[in-house]
Amino acid sequence: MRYGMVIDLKKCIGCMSCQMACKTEKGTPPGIFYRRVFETEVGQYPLAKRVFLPIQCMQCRVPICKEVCPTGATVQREDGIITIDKEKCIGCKACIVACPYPSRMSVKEIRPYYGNKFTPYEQVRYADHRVGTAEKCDFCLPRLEEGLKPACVQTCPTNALYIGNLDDPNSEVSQLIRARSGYQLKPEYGTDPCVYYLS
Amino acid sequence: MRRMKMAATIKLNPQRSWDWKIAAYLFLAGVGAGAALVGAVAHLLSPSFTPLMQTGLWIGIPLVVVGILFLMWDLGQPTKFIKALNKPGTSWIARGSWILTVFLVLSVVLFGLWIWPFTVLNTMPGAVAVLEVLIAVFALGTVVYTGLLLGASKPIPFWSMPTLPLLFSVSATATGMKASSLLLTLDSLMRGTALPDIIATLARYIAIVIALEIAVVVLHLWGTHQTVTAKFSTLRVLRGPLATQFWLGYVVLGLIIPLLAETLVPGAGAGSEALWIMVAAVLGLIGGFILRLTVVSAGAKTPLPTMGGEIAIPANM
Repeated sequence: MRYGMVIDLKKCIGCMSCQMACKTEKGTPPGIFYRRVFETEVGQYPLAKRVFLPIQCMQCRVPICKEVCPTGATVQREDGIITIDKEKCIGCKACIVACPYPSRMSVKEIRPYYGNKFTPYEQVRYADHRVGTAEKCDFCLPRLEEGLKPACVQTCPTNALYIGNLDDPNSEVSQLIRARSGYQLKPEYGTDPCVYYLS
Repeated sequence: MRRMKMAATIKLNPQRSWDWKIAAYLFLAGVGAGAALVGAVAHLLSPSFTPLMQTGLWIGIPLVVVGILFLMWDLGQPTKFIKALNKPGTSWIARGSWILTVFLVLSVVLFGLWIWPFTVLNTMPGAVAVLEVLIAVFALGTVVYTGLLLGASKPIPFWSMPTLPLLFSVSATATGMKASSLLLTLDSLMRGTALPDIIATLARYIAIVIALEIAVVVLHLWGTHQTVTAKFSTLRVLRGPLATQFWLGYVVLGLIIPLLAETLVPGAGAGSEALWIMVAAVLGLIGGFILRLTVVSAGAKTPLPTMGGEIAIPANM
């Protein structure tokens, strides 16, 4: 079993719903994103257009972050998902500067979104976060364990996101990668990501 | 070619995860280990360099300790620092923590040999030589490590070029020697004695190492033209926001003035000689820190490719 994600850039409309669903699901403090939708403009007038690129942890098969972690806080599970042990993370930020993708962030402070008071939701959810440690996407591991899809996949209004087993050649993700020549970002770093893009 | 053109038009963001505290860590560890390395090697070659070896330890031990304190300051969870030793197999932070720890232990042991009742071991030249060889090895390890730590960040091409460990090693050796010459000069001034011959010898070697450093820094910056992202870093250094600190702080104050002073001083009068040696050393040390700071601040990650364009990676990711 190896979890993988397919992102169909042709379907992505840049609505940022996945980014917000992720923030809600993970209860991340201001400034912390496990998932981000980047956008840029390509081409020249009159053919210019906006393109979007959703990014989260690529759950690399050869994770540089795990290699550079001095404490063993970054762990690669049997199913390919990379997790961070908050107890072991010392906040050296070596993983953040070593990751070729913008997928890891250091929690500098935990402050309320609205005014100076934490909302009841924030009071509960911010307990999952610790100042001075690195954080990132884990494909919504608790949801996967309950048999649910990650929040971003669940939310995407255009069904641009797919999650599944890359080891199974008949899974939806494997078929999509084969049929539409799914590609990984920055393959030159040899990280062999488990997130594939279609365009 | 088309892709190169695209990348040149997007605005990249220099990384902000590591800042001046990491630069201070790399600088202090470099100066401390550089001084100890030169002292140990010189003493192994000739017993006349005993003061240089002793000075190397006087500089090496405290500076490496303070350097480690800067690393700890930069950690998000400083109280868990000891865990940094966990995984030396693949992590350069862990390997560095071990190398610095072993270097400190060996240096403290050698230092201890001058203190009663351990002075008896000092009469065994074999033991001292073995210790010095080990210190030289771990000091060299520390010096090279300061360049390899940044090099482990493969997506930052300005850091992962093979010339960076060389540049930091040469700079660490030069700054270590400058720190030793500063301490030796201050010592002789306080004692009111004439400057020892070792200062003039040291000045000659410092000048050679500075000349080498100039060659390596040129080589490093020249090498960056191969990738668009590394070139972005170099342009920030040469004519961007880091230009003043680089040209004035590093090139003029840190390299050219010390090079001229160390070359011309041995012929100068006795009074100005001590002054120039100290000026060269202090400016050289400031320049050494500015070099680390410039390199750390200039690092930027390669952008993300997307359909027909590229996206710059945010500074904090």
